[in-house]
Amino acid sequence: MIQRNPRARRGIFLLITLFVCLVLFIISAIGLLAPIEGLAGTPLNALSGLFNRIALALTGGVSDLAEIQELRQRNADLEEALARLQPQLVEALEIQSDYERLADLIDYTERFPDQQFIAADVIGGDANNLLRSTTIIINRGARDGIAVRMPVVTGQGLVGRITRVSADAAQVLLITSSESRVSARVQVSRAEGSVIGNVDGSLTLGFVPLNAGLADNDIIITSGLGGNFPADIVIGQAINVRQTELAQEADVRSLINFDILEVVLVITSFQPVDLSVFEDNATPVPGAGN
Amino acid sequence: MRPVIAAIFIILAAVAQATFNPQIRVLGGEPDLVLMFTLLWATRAELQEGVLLAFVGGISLDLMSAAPLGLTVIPLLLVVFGLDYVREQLFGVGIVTLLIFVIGGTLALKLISLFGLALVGIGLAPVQSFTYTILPTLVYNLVILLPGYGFVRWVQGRVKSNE
Repeated sequence: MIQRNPRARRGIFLLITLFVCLVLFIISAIGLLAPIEGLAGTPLNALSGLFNRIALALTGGVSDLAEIQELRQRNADLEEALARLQPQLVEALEIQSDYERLADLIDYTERFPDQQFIAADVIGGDANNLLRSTTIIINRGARDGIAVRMPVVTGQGLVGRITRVSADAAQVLLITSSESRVSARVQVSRAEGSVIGNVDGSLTLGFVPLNAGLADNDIIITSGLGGNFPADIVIGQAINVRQTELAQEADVRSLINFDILEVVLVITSFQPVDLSVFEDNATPVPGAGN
Repeated sequence: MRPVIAAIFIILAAVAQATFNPQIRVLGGEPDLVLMFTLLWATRAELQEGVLLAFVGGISLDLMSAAPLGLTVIPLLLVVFGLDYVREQLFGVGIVTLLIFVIGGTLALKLISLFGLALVGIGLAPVQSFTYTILPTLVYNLVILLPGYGFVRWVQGRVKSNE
């Protein structure tokens, strides 16, 4: 009926529905519908509870997402700040490292007030990677008073000796080189021996008499025999002591990391003794090769 | 089938309005899902379907509120009948008409609710209610008009295609 005569019937339909609403409103307002409302509201409230749990979960998730976004932003900010500060940190660490090294070297030089030192930066290793543990290049040369055979040390001990000198640079033969022989002494027992470099960059103490005192953790120092190095410079610590038929041997663990040497001291006041005049008549002396 | 589906949707809209909306409230405003669904569904439905939605949606809302039963149905009925009248006069409902009905429907719903609540002794400050609740709600309803229209058209299309 209403579909067929919408204009004529719409008003009546509206009035009827509004009347129903008003009746509902009135009897609801005075409380007559309370039981029915309670009954009808039960499924809606149950559904509402379900939706509420979903809503809470979603808002919790949204909150977490927002927090994640905030944390991401904060992380990005911190990374940016870190990137800005990284060069300063590197510079500060470099300064600290330089300071520690130089302080160490100063300490070392103060222990030997009668000797003169020149500090030099290590500017390179050997270009041939097979010789990495053999030589280093320092930025001091003849103009600075550097000469061949001068000992090179750090605060941690003996590094090697000068083998070649140019005007502004010098080559240092490391004690870890297989070409190196250093006359050595066991600090405690005073037993003599010779520290030899190995191809793998390790050090071996050899030619220690069988009856001499040598034990693990003994400090090995230069003996000064042969005249190539001053006495009493620390070479390293004896480990893995063993005996051969003729003598005792030990590995020597240097305190120096030769791979990361940056600053060294050249002992310029030390005058190596030239024993070549005795070589024709001399019998081999342990450790006298260097 | 279509009125049943519409009724299910309007009940879900009422429940969602009672539960989800507080989470997305701006000031006191939140979208009138029942009003919007009823309005948008009625744009392409028979008058009876619109009236059914007004009753089911309005009563559902009233059952979940302190308002007396039927209070929310009245403005919804006015919107549905008004829309049916305009649609008949203009041979269709355009976006401008929808905008006008969203604004008018929102105002009618809130003002009638204010009036009805006042009748049962729940007095609310009209001016504060208008600025704090009604205006933000109006903005919300306008914002969801187009996506809501798309959604309702999609549902109606699906129902029609299944029949």
